[in-house]
Amino acid sequence: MKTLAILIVGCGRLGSHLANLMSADGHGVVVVDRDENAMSRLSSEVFSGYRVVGDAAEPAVLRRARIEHTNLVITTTDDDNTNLMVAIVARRVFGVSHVMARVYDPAREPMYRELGIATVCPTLVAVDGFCALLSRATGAAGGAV
Amino acid sequence: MDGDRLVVLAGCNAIGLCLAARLDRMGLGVRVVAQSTGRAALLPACLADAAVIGDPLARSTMQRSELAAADALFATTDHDDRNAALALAGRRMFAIPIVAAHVADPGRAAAYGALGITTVCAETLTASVFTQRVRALAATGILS
Repeated sequence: MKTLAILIVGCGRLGSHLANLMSADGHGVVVVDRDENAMSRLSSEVFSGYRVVGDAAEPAVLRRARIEHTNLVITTTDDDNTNLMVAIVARRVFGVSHVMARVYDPAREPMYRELGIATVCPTLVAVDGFCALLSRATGAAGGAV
Repeated sequence: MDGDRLVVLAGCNAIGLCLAARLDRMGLGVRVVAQSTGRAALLPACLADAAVIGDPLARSTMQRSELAAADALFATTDHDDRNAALALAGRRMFAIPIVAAHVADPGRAAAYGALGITTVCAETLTASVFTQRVRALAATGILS
């Protein structure tokens, strides 16, 4: 396994979950969030990365988060516009080789793809989840997908 | 499943709209319960007749959406507790074979599971997809 330098933008439920997991996997992780309190979601037991408090829309903040040494940027804020802008800056300004973004609006996915940004859309992921349940036609009670 | 099969979707938000379109493309019969005509208007033209306007937990709405004849009920409103209640109603009042509720809060999935409710959590699934892709990138150098 290659050890990655990962920059995660947003330390909400998703961002902190990924940060804890990727840090436990042995990757170098830097987390950026505007809200210092959000950093409390990072596990004191498994997270061994760095925390940067600041607005990731500002290139200076991204530089402080060592974006120039990053293999992978993941944008996980609750705002599609922020995720898109930071992802574009990471890809086009800093030349980060791999960029992934959470995008809530499924209609935006093609635009992200054209810009070389991989996306994960919670809406479409949920639709896939329901369709998978249907195709399995389990009807079994109490399962979680 | 085929066109004779009926799936009722309670909730006409982004998930409900996308799911309705997907199920329609799969050739399934679809009913979409929307709280307002404004929400129902967001359905694609081919599903205009699929809309049922009303409170999804009201008995009259349940009757109009043909829950008694449904093969599946997916509760996708913006409220986790409402989705759980709809799932319980679907299973216990109408004995629908396939029932599931969307939960926005991953912490609730276990509690609802204990009540016998099958859940779909967009956030948990999203985290899984990101994790799989990062691990694949670390293993292969390729980001899918």
